Amino acid sequence: MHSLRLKISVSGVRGIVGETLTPQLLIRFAQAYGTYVGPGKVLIGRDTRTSGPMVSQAVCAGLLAVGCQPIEAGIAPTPTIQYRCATRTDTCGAIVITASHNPEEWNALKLLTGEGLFLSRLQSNELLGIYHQGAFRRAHGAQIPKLSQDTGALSAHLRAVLSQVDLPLIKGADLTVAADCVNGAGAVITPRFFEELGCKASILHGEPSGRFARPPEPLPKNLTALRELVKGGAATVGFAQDADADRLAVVDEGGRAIDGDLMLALLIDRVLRRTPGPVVVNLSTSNLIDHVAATHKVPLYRSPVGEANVVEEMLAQGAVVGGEGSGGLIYPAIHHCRDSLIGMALLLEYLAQGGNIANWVDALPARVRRSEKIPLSSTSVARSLLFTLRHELKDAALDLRDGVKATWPEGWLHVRASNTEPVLRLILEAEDQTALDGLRQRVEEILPLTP
Amino acid sequence: MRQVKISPQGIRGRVEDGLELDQVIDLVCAYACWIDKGPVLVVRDTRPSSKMLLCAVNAALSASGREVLDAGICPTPVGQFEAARRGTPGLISITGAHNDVSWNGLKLFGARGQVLTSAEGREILDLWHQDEYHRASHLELGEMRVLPEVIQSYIQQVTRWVDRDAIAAAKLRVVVDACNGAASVVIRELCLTLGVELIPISCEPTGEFPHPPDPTRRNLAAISSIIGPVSGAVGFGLSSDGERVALVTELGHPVGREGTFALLAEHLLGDPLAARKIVAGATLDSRVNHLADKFGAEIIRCGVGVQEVMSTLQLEGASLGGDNSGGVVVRKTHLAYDGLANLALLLEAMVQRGGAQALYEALPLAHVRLFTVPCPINRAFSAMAQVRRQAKGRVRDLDGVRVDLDDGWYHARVSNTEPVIRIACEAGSAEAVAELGAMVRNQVQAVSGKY
Repeated sequence: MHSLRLKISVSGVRGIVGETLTPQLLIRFAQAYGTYVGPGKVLIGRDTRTSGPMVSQAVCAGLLAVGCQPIEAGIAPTPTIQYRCATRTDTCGAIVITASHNPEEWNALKLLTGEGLFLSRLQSNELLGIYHQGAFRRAHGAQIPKLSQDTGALSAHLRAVLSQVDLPLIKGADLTVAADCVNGAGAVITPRFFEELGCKASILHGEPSGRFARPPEPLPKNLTALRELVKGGAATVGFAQDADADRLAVVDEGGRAIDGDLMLALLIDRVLRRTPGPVVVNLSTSNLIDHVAATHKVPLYRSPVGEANVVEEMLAQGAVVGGEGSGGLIYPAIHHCRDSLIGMALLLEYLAQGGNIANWVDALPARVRRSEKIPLSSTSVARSLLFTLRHELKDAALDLRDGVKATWPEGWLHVRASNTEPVLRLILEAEDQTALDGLRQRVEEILPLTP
Repeated sequence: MRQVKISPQGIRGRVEDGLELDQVIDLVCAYACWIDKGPVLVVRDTRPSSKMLLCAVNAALSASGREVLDAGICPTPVGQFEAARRGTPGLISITGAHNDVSWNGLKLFGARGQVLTSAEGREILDLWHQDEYHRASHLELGEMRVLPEVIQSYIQQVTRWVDRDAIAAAKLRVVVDACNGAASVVIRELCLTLGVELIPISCEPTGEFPHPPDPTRRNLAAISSIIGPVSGAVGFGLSSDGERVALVTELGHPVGREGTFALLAEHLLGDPLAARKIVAGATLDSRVNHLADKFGAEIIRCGVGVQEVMSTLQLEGASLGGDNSGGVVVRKTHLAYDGLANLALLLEAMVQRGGAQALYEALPLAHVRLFTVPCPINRAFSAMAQVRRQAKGRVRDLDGVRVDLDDGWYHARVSNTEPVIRIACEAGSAEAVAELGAMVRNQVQAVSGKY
């Protein structure tokens, strides 16, 4: 079964331009959103996709109709809009027009609260209720607000990020870096970011054209060009973003694309060195984070997968840092959101201090990880499979907040239903390969794994 | 009941509780399928909700793969002139026309700004009902371009349509009430170019209408009260998109929009070269017949509204056409209800014939009344049938029912732009016409109910 061409869910609306993501649908969704958060000012940003202007017009029309005042910030990374929305006291919400790591023909709306946070599950369900009900607020013809612009979002975000690191130190270190902006929103801020830090930067795919030169998800297999650049000695370190520059991937000094969990471990370590405190990561993130937290003698909490869930738990626990292994550090000193810029800033500071990313990562305890997809005939069978799994794995410590996470002394496994495809996602982690194979054997007895 | 009317001319509705944005988008998508390949010119009036509709129109045209040429705030006839000059295959005017600020809508035009025939309009509605539109892929989306200044070439053309030097030589002082509508962006420059001094009332493009933007006698009161004190030679009221114009004499007498046709006919038929054929909407009063007799012209009656008038005019090769709305098409200018060009022609007429009051006094007297009766859409044609059944006189089916009596006539029709029945009547005296109007209104209300 193929994946869905359109998805309206708690994470917003996502579809393919020219097929499912029509202006009709976008206008209805913008009206529902404006009815939910408004009336008031709503900040609008977008990534570089060619459909951005069309989607933006539809969103503006929908917001105006329900009496909200759209403020267009133009092309900007998702964290830039989140930060701007949180620091402007006059907004009641923000919409980022981006399909994030999806291919260029996709687009989507990321919906934020007035505090610049993703809508929680509860809030998203309320919004969906309004959308399905179709009962939108209506403004009188004489009271339709005016459109306006915000030209200061990029500078404000940049200033906030730079204020968190030792600028003179980084400038003095004369670093040479490479970055792959995937022709996305990162292209409008990243070159300036390196300039401010006094780094000599080679920028790959730096045209903000929306024609992605590689698949926009910053997975190791998509970063060949960047790795070659670093390997060839053109740069000490390489950075890669996704289309809306919330996610970050790193290529170390040896030209090796570092696993997201390892990068997160390093970044969390950097933050805890300056401010020790509680840490939050999602249930699928590696136990290496437990190791880092233990080193700093701080508590670690886990949340269901998804930025909104991690942030919710961070707020509840008063966490000083958090994130997800898929490539996002969340550093609340700036804002509760995944932000590739603060990740890069902290790593550059580390390098300027004489640190070595490859060495640090290699010194971590050994861990073996495996992730795979389990195809389902339909999304509806996921629940009964998870139910069976939970009853068969009674000998483990179970966490049932997001699918089934089963933990034993030698390792753990996490199975959860995907939000976007009819599959179960399985992640296994253990101290060595033998233990990992043993855990997979257990799953295989219960679920239809492909060999 | 929702206040909205969808017709072969476009869509018009109350912004708060009638005009649904997804219907607007659907209609524009259908329109984009219907017109020939190429860009679409978009103009709008000054209403706060016009910018909202512009966003929706932009999104729909872009998603249909159509380039948008956004000419900004601009009267409908100026848009038609520009579309003809550029040869664009499509033109959309965003305007609530003569309706108050709580309303808005779209007027759709054919290639080169031509008024759609009702058959063409119905083809667009057929496409809409079919609910199948072209959806451009993310690489085929239409671009949105803002056009610089389009009014200059229009104003130059107006000076060629009239005897500019004669007008300028008269050193006229002209009072204009543009109701802060779209004509506000043209009127200063136009007056300057014609060499007349403008005394502006509500000539700022703010969209704040001090009265309904329709130059009826009542809405000309501001001009009437000011024209004496400022020693104005003539006054003009315009509708919000500049299609309709009505004259006020230097003595403060408002001729009203239903008199514009007669004033222009008198002036233009004075030219021996003009075709001896005029097209008059079914609701135009007996002054038209007198003029036709005076100049030996043939008068062709047709339905009401620009669509009916325009197609009859073209078919018959008439020199002039119009109805009692204040909208008049003058063949020697261009094929549009152009209130601004007609304003210039009326200036020319008064310069040639001794002033505005003289023009007015040369017209025979007519006792005319107009009534509007709200009527649910699903009863509208039953109401027409009722009026027809009860008619005592010569009955003609002309865009509704026209009944000619010995001493007058009445006409009832279903409005194309609002859910109402419009009644027009004429009789020998003010009392008789009031009585006649009450009779027809009662006939309609017997079916529509009072609501």
